[in-house]
Amino acid sequence: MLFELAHITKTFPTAQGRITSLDDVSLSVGEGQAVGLVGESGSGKTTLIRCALLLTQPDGGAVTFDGTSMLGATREQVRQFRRQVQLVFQDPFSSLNPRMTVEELVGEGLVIHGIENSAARRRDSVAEMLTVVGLRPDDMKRYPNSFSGGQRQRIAIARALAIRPRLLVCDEPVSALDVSVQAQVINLLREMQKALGLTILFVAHDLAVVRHLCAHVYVLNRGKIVESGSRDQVFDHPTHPYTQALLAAVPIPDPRRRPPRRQPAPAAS
Amino acid sequence: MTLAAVRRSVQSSGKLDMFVFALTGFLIFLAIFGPLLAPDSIYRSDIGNALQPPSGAHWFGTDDQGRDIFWRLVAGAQATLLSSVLIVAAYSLIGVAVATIAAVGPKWLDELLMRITDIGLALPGLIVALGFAAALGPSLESAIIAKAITGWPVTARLLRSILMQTMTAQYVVGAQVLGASKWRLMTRHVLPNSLDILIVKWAGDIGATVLILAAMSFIGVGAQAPSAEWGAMVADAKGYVSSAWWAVAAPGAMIAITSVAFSLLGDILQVWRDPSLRDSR
Repeated sequence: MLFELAHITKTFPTAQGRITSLDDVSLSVGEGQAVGLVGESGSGKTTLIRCALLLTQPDGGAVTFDGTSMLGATREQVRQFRRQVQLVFQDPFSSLNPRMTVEELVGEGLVIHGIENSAARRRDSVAEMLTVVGLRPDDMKRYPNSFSGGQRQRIAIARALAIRPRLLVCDEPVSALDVSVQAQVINLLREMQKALGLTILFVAHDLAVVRHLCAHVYVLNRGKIVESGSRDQVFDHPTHPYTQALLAAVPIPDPRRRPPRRQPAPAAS
Repeated sequence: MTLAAVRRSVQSSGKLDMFVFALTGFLIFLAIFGPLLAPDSIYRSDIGNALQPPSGAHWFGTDDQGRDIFWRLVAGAQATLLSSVLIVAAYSLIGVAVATIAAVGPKWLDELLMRITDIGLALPGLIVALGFAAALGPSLESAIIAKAITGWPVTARLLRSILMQTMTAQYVVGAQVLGASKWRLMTRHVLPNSLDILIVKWAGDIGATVLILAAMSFIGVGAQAPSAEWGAMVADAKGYVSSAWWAVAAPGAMIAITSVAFSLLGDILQVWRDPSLRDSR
């Protein structure tokens, strides 16, 4: 396994005592896989991502990347981790520094990790990355506020992928976008996964999106993994009542297919 | 009608913005070139001409030494306004440094600096500045130093809270995930997105500092007698206010106009920076 979270526990102190945000959460992501993590708001998704990316120290458990335990890792090990694990945020309007040009944003990782030290080579690299995510290289002199939400998310993906990470964590990357743009971004992620051999941990509350992209699915409810398995297993034969409720809540666009409530939605294409 | 209401009604037309820009621009021009424009006679006594009322020859009249008040005001803009700009620049630098160290440093250092800031905030700034100025000897320089030393706590407190807020922005977390060093996070992501509010504060602070500097000169711990600093001019002329009101009124009006102009500039910049305030005021 490329990336493993084992028995992660995280609590937060409040006036009413400690609140358990994550309770013994374990999940693993194999190299080249796309794994989905589904849960509603407040289920602990964001806390899990923060723990997974070493932004918060969990109370207990282990984070292992490529065989290295990352809790209590050395500076150099953390630097290597940052080089290989990247994040795409939910809201492309707040995840891009408004005072940096697209070139600076996409090229920042190349600077930080000393991958391309010459400005000219870096510009070529950025141009190439922009083309890959479907933007024009001419766009690199512009600032993020002159782009639409979907374009911004492409910039964010280019920024994350510019340093060629092995694992991309996506925190609800399309939920802030229009439905028509959602599919474009999801398809882009899917292409990236295939073309670059990228491993993806995809966190979302939208089941249809997860179903389209992820071969393996975890369901998080109130800080616990209540169900996990392959896409077909979880979507066709959910065992946990929470998963069943989630699936029942997915609107089915075709009225003739609606009555048998638990029938799965047709796979989007 | 309150001042705020007047401001609102005039401001909606946009004419006040233009007027304030023109006025502050003109005052800054005076602060830079005023002493070059004014004739040398403004520092010489001409007792025969003392306390002349405003006339064609002396637009704002003359003072008790027979010096032309209009040209003294032009020359004095530098002592008053340029000094205020320097003071604000100096204590802003201290404030930015303290806030940045508090925001990125270890928690105990943050606590220490913020408690020192609290002490600074608790002390009445003008009184402490008076004390400093008295200890350093009464002169414009000591007034500048005194105000520069005592002015930083508000900037430090304000900026620290803004830095803390900016540090939780998603793009900062993103840069952290990308592996950016603390130095890079601060200089490329946090500070550039936090400092713009200081530009707003600077304008307002210059207005307030003009007033305080003039007050210090008036009390006698700032600029001294021959200087054309506006507060000192009011102090010099206060003994003759019943016979020569213009000698007090003219510099007093300049202090008020300058102070209000820069405060308004601060308000206007605030709206430019954050257009959502435009309709809410």
